[in-house]
Formats: sequence, C-alpha cells, structure tokens
Amino acid sequence: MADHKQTELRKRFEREAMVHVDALMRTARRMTKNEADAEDLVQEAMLKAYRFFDKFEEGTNCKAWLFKIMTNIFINNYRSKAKAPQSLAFDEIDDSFLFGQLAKTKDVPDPERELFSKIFDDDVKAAINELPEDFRIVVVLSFLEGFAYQEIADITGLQIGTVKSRLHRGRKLLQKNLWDYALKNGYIKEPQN
Amino acid sequence: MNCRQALKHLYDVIDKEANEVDVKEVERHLKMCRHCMAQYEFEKAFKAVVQEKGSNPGDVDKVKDSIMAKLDAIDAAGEVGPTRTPFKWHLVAMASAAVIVLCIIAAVSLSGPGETPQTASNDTPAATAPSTDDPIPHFIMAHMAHSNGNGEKDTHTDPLKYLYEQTGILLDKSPKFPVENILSVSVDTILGVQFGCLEMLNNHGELVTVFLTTSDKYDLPANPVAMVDGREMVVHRCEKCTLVGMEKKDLIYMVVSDPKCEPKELAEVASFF
Repeated sequence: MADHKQTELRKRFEREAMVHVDALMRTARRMTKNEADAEDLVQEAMLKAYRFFDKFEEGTNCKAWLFKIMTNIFINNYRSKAKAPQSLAFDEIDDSFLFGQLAKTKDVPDPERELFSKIFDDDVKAAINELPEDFRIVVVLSFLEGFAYQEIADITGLQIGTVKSRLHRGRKLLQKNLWDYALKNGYIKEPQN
Repeated sequence: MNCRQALKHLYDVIDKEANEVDVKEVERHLKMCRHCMAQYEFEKAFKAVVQEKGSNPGDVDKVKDSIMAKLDAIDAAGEVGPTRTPFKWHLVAMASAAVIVLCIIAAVSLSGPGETPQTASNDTPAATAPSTDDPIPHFIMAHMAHSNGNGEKDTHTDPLKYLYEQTGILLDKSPKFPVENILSVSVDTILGVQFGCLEMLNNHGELVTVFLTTSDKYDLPANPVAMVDGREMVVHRCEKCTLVGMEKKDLIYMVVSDPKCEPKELAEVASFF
C-alpha cells in the first residue's frame, strides 16, 4: 500500500501548508465577515488542498496556492448571493481624502499620529469589513497578506490592472471608513471648514 | 517628474511594485516637494497601521484541530495521493478548465457554423479500449473511503433525488443511465459553475466521473472531436445537452444540460456510456 507515501505527504502538508492556517483564517474572517463561515471556508480549502497536495509542486508558493483555492471557494460558494449595489460614491472621495482631512485638523499638533495611535484593531477590522466585497478581497490580500499585485491577480483571476484599480479605490474607501470611525468614536474632531 | 506624475506612482512605490527607475524618480521628487513627501509618509503610515492592526488572525486553534482531525480521517480512508485516482481530475479540471474552455472556443471557431451531427467513426467513447487492469475494485475502494472520510454527503439511498435537490437536475431511471452504477454523488464548483458529480461505472465496467450542470456558462461546440491539452476529446450533443468525453485512463464525461432538457434526452446522451 501507499501508506509510507501517505505519511510523507501528510508530513509535508503539515510543514508547508498548515503554517498558513493563521493567515487563511485572518483573510477568511474578513472575506466572510462571519466566524462560522470563516472556519468552514478555511477548513474546506485546506481539505481540498490536502486532497490535491500530491499535485502541488514543492518549492513553489504554497501560501498563494492555498489562497487561490480558498478564494475560489469563497467566490463560488460564500459570496453574498444578492450582490449589493456597489456603485458607491467613492469616486467622489478625493485621492488624498484622509490626508486632506487630517491636514485641516488644527486642534492637535500631529493629527496623523493622534489618529493612528488611537484606532483599535477592531476599528480597522470593521472598516475593512465595510468595504464592498470586490475591493475588500483585494485590499486584504495586499495589505494584510502582503501579496504582490501579480500574485493577487493569480489568486483572484483578475487582470493585474483591475487589481490595481480595485486596490486604489479600496484604499481610498478604507480611509474614508476609518475617518468615519474616528469621528464617531471621538478619536478626532471634525475639522471646521 | 512633477507632483502629478509622482502621485501616480506613489502607491506603486509604497507597495514595492514600482520599477527601479520610477522609484528613483519619485524619491528625487519627494526630496524636493514637501507636500508630496508628507502625503507619501502619510500613505506609508496608513498602510502600516492597517497591516499592524488588522493582522491578528484571532483564535485559530479550533479550526486547526478540526482540520487535523479531518486530515486523519482522509488518511485513514486513503483518499490522498496516488491512491486517489478517481478524484485527481478535479484538480486538473480546475487548473485547466480555462484552457479547456479556450480550446473549446477555438474548436468552435475552427469547426465553423456547421451543426451537422458527429461522424460515426469516432463518436463513441465506448469504442475506446477498456483502460485499466482492474479499475472497478480500485474505484469502489476509493469510493468507500470517500464516503467516510470527509463528511460530504455522498452516500445516498436515492442519489438522483439528492442530485435533483442540490442542482435541480432531474435524471430518470433509464436503463441507459444505470442508476445502480452510481457510486457517489457530490456537488462541486469549478470556475464558478456548479456541477453535480456522479462517480459511476459505465456499461463497460470502467470508472467514469460525470459532471452535470444546468449552467449555460460553457458554450460547447457541435463538432465531434476537439483537441484539449493534446488529447482527443469527443463531444456529443443532442438538442439541448452536450456531452464531452475525454479519452483518458480515467474517463471523464461532462454533460452540460439545459434545465429544460427532458430526462429522456439526457438519457439519450448518457447512452454513450
């Protein structure tokens, strides 16, 4: 029987793939915005990866491979069925929205540091969660997972230009969301125009 | 480089995606322009804050334990690796589906608009030689392993009912589509198309995986033979269904059906088994 091979494969899987479960969970939580779905998604992706692990070429980018599997499953099975209208007014947000707002804030000497030191992990996570799905996936893969544009394109199946434009818009929108949180939670006062 | 050009490349530089020349140009501009420098510093700090505060993955022990337990089950069932013959095509299908679709599209354009039925000489997968020495016991073993391994609902007293509930595809119990030969039913999604996957023995006792879908995402050609990845693929089509048989050690058939397709017609296509 192939028991010996099986054990080798299992060992290799634990060594090369299991170490990415933390990252997969981090992204899955942002993708699904739901703890139970995130766990199911990561589990499904890992089991699928294991079944095909004998096909995975040793030495290639295992993290990107796992993320591709997970992203595929998410897009196919988990993403919101009724797609919310995504034509938000983020085009109206100035490219340097947050930078501009902070520059107008006169009541603290260093508003940027003030804001960044006050916001909590949960604020950042909530601000990411509020991004429309298409932007959220790209922002998470870039900001939290550190994937390069080309890797994100490979993972999501998007053109690299689409990745860049989504990342750009996602970044702007994320700044807007964080600014709104900062105002709401009183980290910073709305600048007087 | 002026401010507008510098800002255009700003995120590429921050994301470490800019080429050396652009990086140098941007850096030179930043040294001269306080405003752009301030924005650059801000955007860099913003990214760092999001990275830092968003990076905690939270509790992962539970999911890790759960994965390990399921891996044990898969190992015990011997589903992974070279013993997993019936399943390895899923990966190939996923990885090469885009290629396949492209090839199929190419085949359509090569074959022209002709809707003539396929030639008799090479249109039956049944005409291919039986492939392996003893595929049946091997497959049944794999199936049994599959059913207690990963918790998927693939053992059903009524596989056709399950298929219908999951995919809306209704197959009738035709002698041409031997239900008793269905060993497992599962649902899989390949490139956004949901397939009902029947693992079954064909009338020659060979292991086949049949993919059924009601999606119209694949526009398959009418011509009988297409080359996919250097292999000859036989394509059959009735009025509303298309069947693609890939000649390989483990035969794979893909039936793309219309939701309106009568079970009778599906059975007709399936008669190639």
